[in-house]
Formats: sequence, C-alpha cells, structure tokens
Amino acid sequence: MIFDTFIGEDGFTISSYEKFFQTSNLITSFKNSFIVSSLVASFATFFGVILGIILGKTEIYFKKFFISILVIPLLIPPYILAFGWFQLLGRDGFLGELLFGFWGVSFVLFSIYLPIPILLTIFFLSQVNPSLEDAGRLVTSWRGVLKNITIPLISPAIILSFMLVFILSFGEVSVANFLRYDLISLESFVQFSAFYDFKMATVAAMPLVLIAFLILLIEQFFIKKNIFRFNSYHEIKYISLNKYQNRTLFLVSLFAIIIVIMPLSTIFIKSLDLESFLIALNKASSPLLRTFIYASIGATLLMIFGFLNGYIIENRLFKWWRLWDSSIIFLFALPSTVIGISLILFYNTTYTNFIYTTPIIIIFGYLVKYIALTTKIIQTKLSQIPHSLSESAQMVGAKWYQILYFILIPISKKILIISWIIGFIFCIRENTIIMLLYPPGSDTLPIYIITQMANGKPEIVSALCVIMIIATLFPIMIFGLYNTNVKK
Amino acid sequence: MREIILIFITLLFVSCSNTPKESITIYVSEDQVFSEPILKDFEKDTGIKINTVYDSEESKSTGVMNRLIAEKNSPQADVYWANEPIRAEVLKNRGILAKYNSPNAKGIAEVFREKDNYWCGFSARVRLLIINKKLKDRPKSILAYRDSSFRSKAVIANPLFGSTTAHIAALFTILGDQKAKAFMNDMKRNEVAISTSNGESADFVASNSYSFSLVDSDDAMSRIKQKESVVIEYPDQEDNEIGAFVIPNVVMLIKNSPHPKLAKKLIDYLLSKEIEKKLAFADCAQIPLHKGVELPKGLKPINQIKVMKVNYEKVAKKLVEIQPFLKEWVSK
Repeated sequence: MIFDTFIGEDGFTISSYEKFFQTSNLITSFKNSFIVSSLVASFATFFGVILGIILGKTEIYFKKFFISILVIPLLIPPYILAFGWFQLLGRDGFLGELLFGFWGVSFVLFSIYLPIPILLTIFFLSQVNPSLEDAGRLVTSWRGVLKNITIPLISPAIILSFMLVFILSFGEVSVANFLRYDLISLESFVQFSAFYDFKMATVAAMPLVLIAFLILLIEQFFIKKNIFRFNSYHEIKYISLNKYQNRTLFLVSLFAIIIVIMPLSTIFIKSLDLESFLIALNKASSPLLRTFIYASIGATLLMIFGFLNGYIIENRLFKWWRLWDSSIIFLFALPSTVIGISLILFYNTTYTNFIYTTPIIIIFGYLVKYIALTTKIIQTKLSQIPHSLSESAQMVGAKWYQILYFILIPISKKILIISWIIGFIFCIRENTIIMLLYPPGSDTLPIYIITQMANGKPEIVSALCVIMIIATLFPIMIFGLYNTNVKK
Repeated sequence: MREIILIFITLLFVSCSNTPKESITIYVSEDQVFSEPILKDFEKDTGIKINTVYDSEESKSTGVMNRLIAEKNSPQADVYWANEPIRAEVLKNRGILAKYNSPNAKGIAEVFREKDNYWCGFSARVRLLIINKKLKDRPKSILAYRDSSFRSKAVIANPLFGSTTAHIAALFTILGDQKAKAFMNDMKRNEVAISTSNGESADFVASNSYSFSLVDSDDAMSRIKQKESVVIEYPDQEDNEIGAFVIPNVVMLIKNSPHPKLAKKLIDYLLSKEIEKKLAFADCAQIPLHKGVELPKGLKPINQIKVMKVNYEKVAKKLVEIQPFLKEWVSK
C-alpha cells in the first residue's frame, strides 16, 4: 500500500502527496493533533506516575479496587467514554461546549490512556532494589528517597509511558470524530470511510508514522542515557501513610469518581435492567468466548515475540537491529485500517486462504499492530538487567538460547506477565482491525457491541459493555491474586 | 511447556469454523438488529448455513465496503446486502458485482432497480424529519434547516458518511450545484449542529438537545416505538416541492462469488414480499416496494409518499464530485 502511494498512471509520482498536502486544513489538524497528544501524554504520565506510586508503593487501603477502577477506560471502546460524558454534560452550556472541542478530546483521551503509566509505574517500582531505598532513608525522608533514588531508577518506564500514550492518542479516531474536533488521524479515516480511497488513506497516515519515528529518536537518546542496571526484587518497601491515609484515600477516590465513575454511570444505570442484562449475556456468550480465545492467543504470542524482539534490539544481535526497531514502531503508529487493508490484500489469495478465512488472520492483526507495545515494555526491563549475568554465562560456554532460558526469562518473569496482561487488554479492546478481518461468524465482543449500537436497544448495549468490562478485568484480578500469593 | 503448546494449538483450531456442505457468505450493511432475524429465518427455511459479516455505522469504523473492495481479486462474500444504492453503484463501477435478474424483482419499480440488473432495491427507508414534540411550529421541508426561526435548533448527521451523504448528493442532482451549495452554506450560517450518525441525531431530538433533524425512517420509528417524545414529518410533500428522498435496501451478487447458485437463492428470498412484510412490521418499519404487501398501522405505503425523482447512478457520481466540498463544509 505504501509503494502504491508513489505509483500513478505514468509510473513513479508524488502527486498523491502533493494532493494531500494541498488539503486546506491540514496544518491546523496536524497542529491540533500534536498539541492534544503532547498534553495528553504529559498529563497522563504525570498523574499516572503519581497514582502508580500511591497504588504501588504506599499502604493505601483498597489499592486493588482502585487499580481495577482506573483501568476500566482502557478496556472499553474509546467512543463509549466520550458518549458517557456527552450523556452527562449534554452539548449546551459551558461544560457541554468545553466537551465538544480541544479540552473535551484531551480529557477523554487522558482518561483512556492513564492506566498505561499507572501499570508501568507499579511494575517498575517493584523492581527497585529496596536496600538502595533503605540507604537513602538513613539520610532523608521518603520524599527525598522518591525524588533522588526511586523515580530516577524508574525513569525509563516513565519515558516509555509518555511515548506509548503519545503515539496512541495521536492515532485515536473515534473520540475526535464523536466530539467533532479536527485531528490529523481523521484524515486517513475519512479517506477510507467516505471515499474508499486506499491510496489517499495511506498517504494521510504518513504524518502519524513520522511522529512515531520522532518519538523513537527521543527514546533512543533519553532512555539509553538513564538506564540503571539491577537485578529483580520481590520485596517492595512500602511507604506508610499514617495521618495522610484518609486524605490520600479521599483524593484517589475523587479522581476515580471523576475520571471513570461519572461518565460510565449512565451506561451502568441502563444495564441494571435484569431482563436486558440476561438477554445481553445470552447474546454475548459466543462472541465473548471467541474474544477470550483470540485475545489469550494474541497476548501469548505478543509476549513471546515481544521478548525475542526486545532481546534482539537490546543486545543489537544483528546489523539491521535499528531497522527492525523502527519497523515495529512504524507498524504501531500506522492506523489500524491501513494495517487491516494491507493484511487483506496480502493474505486474501488461494495459497493463503487457510490464514485469511480463519481466525489466524485476527491473530496476525494483533501481532502486527501491538508487537511494539510488548517489545518496548520487555526491552525496557531487559535493559536494566546487568550484562555481567549474561557475560558470566557466556564465559562458561552457555549458548544464547541457554542464557535466554536459564537467566533472562526467569529474571523477566514478572514483566512477561505484565506484558501478557497489557497485550491481552489491547487485543480485547481492538475493533478496527477485527472489523476488517474477522471471518464470518467469528466476531468478537467489541465488534458485536459496535454493530449492536446501530439501533440496538440502549439497555442491551449498556449491558454488553458491562459484560466486556467484567470479562477484561478478570485476568488482572487473577494476576493480583497471584502476586499476593507470591509475596506471602 | 509441551502441554501449553498443545492447548494453544487446540484453542486455535477449535476457534476455526468448520464450513458445512451447504453454506453461503453474506456481508450486511443493514443494521444487525434488523437483518439478523431475517437471515436466521432463511437458515431455518432452507437449511443453508449463512456466514455473516455485519457492518458498523460508517462514522464509528471502516467496515464491509472496504473489505469488499480489498477482496475484489478473491471474493469471500457471495452476496452483499447494502442499506442504500449508492454503495451498490460504487461497487458496480469498480467491477465487483455480477448481474442477476431475480424473478422476485418483478413488481419493484424500475427507479429502485439497476437497469442492467447489477442490484435491486427492496424495503426502503425514507429520509424524514424527526421533531421533538415540544417544538410548536413544526418544519415541513428540509429547507427549514436554513430558516432563521430554527437557528441553532437543528442537527444533521455528518454528511461525509452514510445516507446523509447520499441525500445531499441527491439534492445536488435535483437543485443544481449552485443552489445546493447555497443551501448547505445557509445551513451552516443557521448554526446547524453535526452529529456522528442518524441514530445520534434521533437521540438528540428525543432528548430535546435539538428540536428537529433529518434522519432515516428506521431511526425515527425506533424512537417512536421506544416511546420517546417525538413525531415525524415526511418533508416536501406539496405539489411544487421536491419530495422525500427514498433509500431502498439493496441486494447484489458478488462477481466470482464462491457459491453463485446459493447466492441467487438468498437474493430471491430477500426480494420476496414475505421479507418486505417482516421488515415493515419490525422496529425499523421499512416500506415495501412491492405492491400489496401488508403494512402496520402508521406506516405510509410507498405510493402515498411523494418520492424525490432521482437517478441513483447520477447520485453516486455526484457523491464523489462533492466530497471535497463536503469535507470543507464539515471542517468549517
């Protein structure tokens, strides 16, 4: 598809790009996207890290409950959160007008992607050597320890969070479309939806890819300079809140209420109709089962290939490791529609029918879109493992796969589980690629919800959303229980 | 480790569907809540398994049309059930359709059929005005969108997507480019709001966020059945007025489809009077194009509605021409 953008009737041409750059409001929509994404990434990272520290490093009550609540916006189609805010605020009045524009789009995207820095912060905090913090506590308070020891040690995770949220919010379409705010991601979407013009849609996707490469450069320069290498630890030093417990609890509760509970309350209330809920449960059972199967397989493969990619890139195993790294970021930044159409054009042949006409094509869609996510998460962890461990093994004659199996994988066990969970969440919520690829009769629950939204009963659509949220929280809760048992 | 790999492979193949001997694949753009019962009835009546791919509203996700275009060289679908003829024209112009003259197409007016039998219309929606009951002075024409007494009281679905695009394109063919552009610009000056879909427009009017909107009749009828505080008006029905834009469902045979014989059977089924009756009595309340089909109370038969005289082929061409204008209009 990219090659096709340079081909015209007379051979090589850049006329498609010339036509695209003549779009009257292109500069405005690009500027809007850049500002929105920067704001969303900055605020999500800032608040996400603070919440991650509170929920991962302090003895606040009900931390698992708060984590589950704050993660919910990431689990549902983004459009639904925007719709929830509209139900609450309407379109008129000061707040309604604020919603349908820059601030509304930024706020909704902030709510959706906030869980990413929270989860990454919580995980990387658990990897910090507690004896370093103990040493710091001898000379300063917890505030000083956090500022000078803990946060610098987890800075790669903070930068990674910023990167991921920036790219994801730059490419998000449905929220901006609903709230009527002009973003560059809509250009590609409109070319597909309204014009069915694959060439121009791919051209319109190129600015998103350029931004992703810019982010990659930032990662190369900033993360590499801030790597501290250390072993994994299971023991975490928790900060006792004492007299600040109630205040912190109040603030976190307020945050959860404003960000999550308020916009989703209208949806939840509609789903309280038991009859509708039972109908929805009956209708959702097959798509839900398929969703779990596909997402589990997708998450597992994302974890495996993410680990292998992370290892290749971190250790620069091949000459072309930079190209490899850039390629997976390129795929992550590409709009899902471009990926979906590309997979159709490539795999819809007689020889590859066994892939295209089966759910294997869905798994391929997950891998292509989200491999960068798990690669970067695992790579960040691998970058913190001392090289001396691998070097020692090499000195006694261990092969690369033995180093992987006996040293790196055991040390990385927890990050592999985290990457599986994050891969699972993104696979479960994916709808654009699946809408294009799913073989007949293999629809997933997000697809079913979207197709039911067109004149389906609102109570049933609400109930389907609730079912999806509960189903997606399930592995996170299992992980929480596993984590508790490990600590015991 | 071996056990995990075995479970993994089993899961993958369990989820792959086994295609029984007689089965057919249909891509459907008509709302799943209305189309699914019809297709399940076909399965029951004929014993032929139907594999379905449903579509979303265009503004939420790209779907079936792009899939059909991308699959052109190796079609997976046998039949496409579109919810308006413009999509059919787009596919016909890209060489994706095959001709089929169904015996059940007899009795359907020629304006709702492609002249070379590439597609045939059935069970139509009408573009009508949904009006909140609180509005005292009710509009009777789409020109109310530029009436200053309705300033900032109206909403319209994004004209880049779906049936609204087709309606605007139809207006361009009827009024001419100049008058149609003037109408659109007047609408903008009158502070019309833009929603993402007809369904959303209907919800806005039902909640009195806006007083009226131009929507499809199935969106309006479903809100009436949900006992929302709205009424409907068939616009422009006077002698000197342009009439209401009618959008039939359309069914078509995909070129080089894997199961052409079964596909023709399904097309015949969908074009039958029985199916038109079912869709008339369903929540979508779609108007039969065959004469003599029983209708529910409150639904006007097609011969009692002044229909906008359009040529869908010309509408499809105009739709492509006006896209740059519409894109700029939306972003203003």
